Amino acid sequence: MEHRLNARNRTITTIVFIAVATILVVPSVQAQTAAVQTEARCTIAKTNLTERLAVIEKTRSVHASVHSDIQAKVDTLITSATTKEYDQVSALTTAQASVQKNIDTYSAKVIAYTNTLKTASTIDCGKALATLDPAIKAARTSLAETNTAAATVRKSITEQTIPAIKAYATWLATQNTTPTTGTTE
Amino acid sequence: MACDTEYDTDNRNDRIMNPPNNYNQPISPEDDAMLQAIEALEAQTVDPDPKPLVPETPVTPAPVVVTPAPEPIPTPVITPAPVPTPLTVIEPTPVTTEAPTAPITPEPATAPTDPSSAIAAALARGPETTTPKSTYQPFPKKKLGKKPLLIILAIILVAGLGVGGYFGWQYLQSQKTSPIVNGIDTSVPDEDPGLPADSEASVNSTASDIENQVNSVDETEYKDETLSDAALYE
Repeated sequence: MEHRLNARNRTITTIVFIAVATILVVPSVQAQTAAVQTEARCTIAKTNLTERLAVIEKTRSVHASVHSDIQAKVDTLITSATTKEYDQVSALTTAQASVQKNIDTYSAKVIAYTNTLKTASTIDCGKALATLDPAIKAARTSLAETNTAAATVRKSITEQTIPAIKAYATWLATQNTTPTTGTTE
Repeated sequence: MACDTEYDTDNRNDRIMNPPNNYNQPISPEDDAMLQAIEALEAQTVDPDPKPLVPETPVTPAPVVVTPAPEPIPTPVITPAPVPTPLTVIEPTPVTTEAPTAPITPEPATAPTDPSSAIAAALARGPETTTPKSTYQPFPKKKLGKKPLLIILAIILVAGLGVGGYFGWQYLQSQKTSPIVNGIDTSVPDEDPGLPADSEASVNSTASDIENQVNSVDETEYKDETLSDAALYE
């Protein structure tokens, strides 16, 4: 009888020990596993951020070239219109100035975005793992602003510059037809 | 073969031993040509390698020639060489009294009694005659001028131009065919050369060019998806 009681107590003790050990150990293991996973994600994210940074730098260069070319064409037209005493030259100059302002804003936004990408891509995943998420969050915010600025540039060119140029073309057409009607009359 | 018979030394020796009595007359052109041919043959046989010929001739005149012409310098050999030959030839001097003309003197000089001795005497005079004839070359050397060098340089130049032109053309083609960078057309549309400057058509063309450029600008790199979790952590 006594032997049977001793065996029972021993079993209970073992079960209690296992339960306590599980309660104590499992969370720490889980935490370590999560940390390892986070570090691995950090490394992957840094690689992708570095690639993204290169793409954005290239895109910024291409966009700057296109914007510069457009502004140069508008500048040529403004000079021509001034020479021909076009009475709505101000429409062209206003459109050009507005577009240039938006281009400058866009350029500043792109630079800010690239800076956030640089910051996020240079995080030490071993020591400053906690700073990765804030950095990515800042990069996402800057990305949205950059996207808006790019759209603003495109919109200003489409809605201001091109109509002003077409108005100038129309005026040129009237200037060409006016002398002929005058001579026939 | 007829030529061999003409230049036969026996005939020559016969004529030397029995000279005609017309020494007061100049030698006929035929004889003169024959003599020159003989001398040319002798010179060819002597000139290339005179040294082995002298010992090969066991004839008596050889020591006669060798003794006055010791090793020292070739110039002293020349002066004594003619001395023995006139001595041997002096016998027909009575003939010379009849015709003391200049062309006759060399003829008796080469008139030893024996043909072999005559050849030996002629060989002995080798050093004397080799000096002017040593410059004779049956096959004149072809001088290599600057022509081959110029040809090689021209070939190299043409090849260089060809290779340079090829790579230059490839580079120009690559520049023309790759205006799209990162999905964006960076090429600047050319103005229509047919349109006059500052005309309605040219301005409208500029407007459409700008519109195309704006529409070709790729802004997908600024989309939010580019920094999504799926894009970052995969």
